[in-house]
Amino acid sequence: MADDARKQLRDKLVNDANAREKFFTSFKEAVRATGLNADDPKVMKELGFNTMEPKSVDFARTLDTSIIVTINH
Amino acid sequence: MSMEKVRDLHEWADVAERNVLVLNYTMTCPLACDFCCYGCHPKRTEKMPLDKARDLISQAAQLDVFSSVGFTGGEVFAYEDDFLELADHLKAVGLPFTAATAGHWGKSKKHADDLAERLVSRGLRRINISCDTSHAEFVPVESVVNAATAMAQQGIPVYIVGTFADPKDDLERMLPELSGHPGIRMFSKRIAQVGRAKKTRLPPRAANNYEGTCYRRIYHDIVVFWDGKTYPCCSTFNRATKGLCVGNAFEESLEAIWRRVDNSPLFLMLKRRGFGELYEAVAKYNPELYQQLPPLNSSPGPCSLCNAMFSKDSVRAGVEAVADELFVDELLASTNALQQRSIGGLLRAPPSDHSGATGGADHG
Repeated sequence: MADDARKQLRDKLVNDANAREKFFTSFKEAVRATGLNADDPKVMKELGFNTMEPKSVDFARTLDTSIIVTINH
Repeated sequence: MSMEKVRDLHEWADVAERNVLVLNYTMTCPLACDFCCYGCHPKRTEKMPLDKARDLISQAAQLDVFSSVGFTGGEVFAYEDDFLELADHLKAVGLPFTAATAGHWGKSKKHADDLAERLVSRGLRRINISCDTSHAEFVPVESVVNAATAMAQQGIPVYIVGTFADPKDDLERMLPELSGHPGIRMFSKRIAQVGRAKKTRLPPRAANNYEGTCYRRIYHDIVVFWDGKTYPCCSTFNRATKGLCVGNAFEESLEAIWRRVDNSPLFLMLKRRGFGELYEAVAKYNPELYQQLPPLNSSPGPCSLCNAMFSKDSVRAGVEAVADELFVDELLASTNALQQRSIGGLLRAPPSDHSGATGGADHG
């Protein structure tokens, strides 16, 4: 894709949440079409998509918030 | 690791939850705890209209992304008839539910037993009962014991949660009669500096050099308050964090709000990658905005940090824009990587294997 077309696409996706959602959905479908698991954060990370990676899940247990509004409540 | 195996915080809570619709039904409360995050008391009258609550439950059932409905407030048991009617509706639409309460309705053991049977038979699958020195000023410990044992006898998990100023205080000492009781678990927490406790002098808490994430890693607690205003989490700071409001569920569909939250690059970032990486992204994309962020190590936890970050609309908008940009840049780079991979596959594979294997996501 030419640089200006890429820039246009980037601007569109940054500014239009609906377009972004559709693009992301299509992207995941394309990942699946190659036989990869689009729900696997590791696979997505290999493709450069870090946002899917759940990091240090166990840490979530130590937070100062808790189940269904239970502090100061 | 597949996403299915990633445990969300709620899964240590006996039941694997997906998204939860939380109805913050009322600000009425028979209590007036000195640390209440929402400043509730007996004279407050704000309450969600019953028909609105029914409608939200119907929408949640139709959406099929919510695994349960949670009730909180205020005190939802202050409107027992409403609660039972909503429980009937939940049963009719096939959604289980949970509730947070102070247990004042346990004053009469007979009433507690009867109410527990009626609610559990309609789908109540867990109850959180608040009990600590502040709550005990208004609700006798005996009521809490009656409420907790009534629910436990019905076979649902009972969580008793105490919130204390002094880290040496805990529920085991307050409720020795329930310690070790089958089906009843106790959690002792520290008061957060919000609501009536905002200006309370509390023992100092160590600030974290915060690398953590939002408390829910995958799914969301979509919290609708009595006035329809909706928040993406059960943070005790939610209502106090202007920039966290994600819409009004009385003015638009629950689906629209849920999609907005589920597709938000900002929330994805906070849930999956955490505050540390978000700060790095802001520093890279918008160094001026970075200077306006509260120091990463200035808060004892993620909810207080989130509150400090998103109380200003301008900061919230700027940080959201950074998350959008980062998300799109990674998405476009990944699309390229996928195309390269597919092209590589095409070069290696025989012609008959080609169809449908190219990356189709690049709409440009």
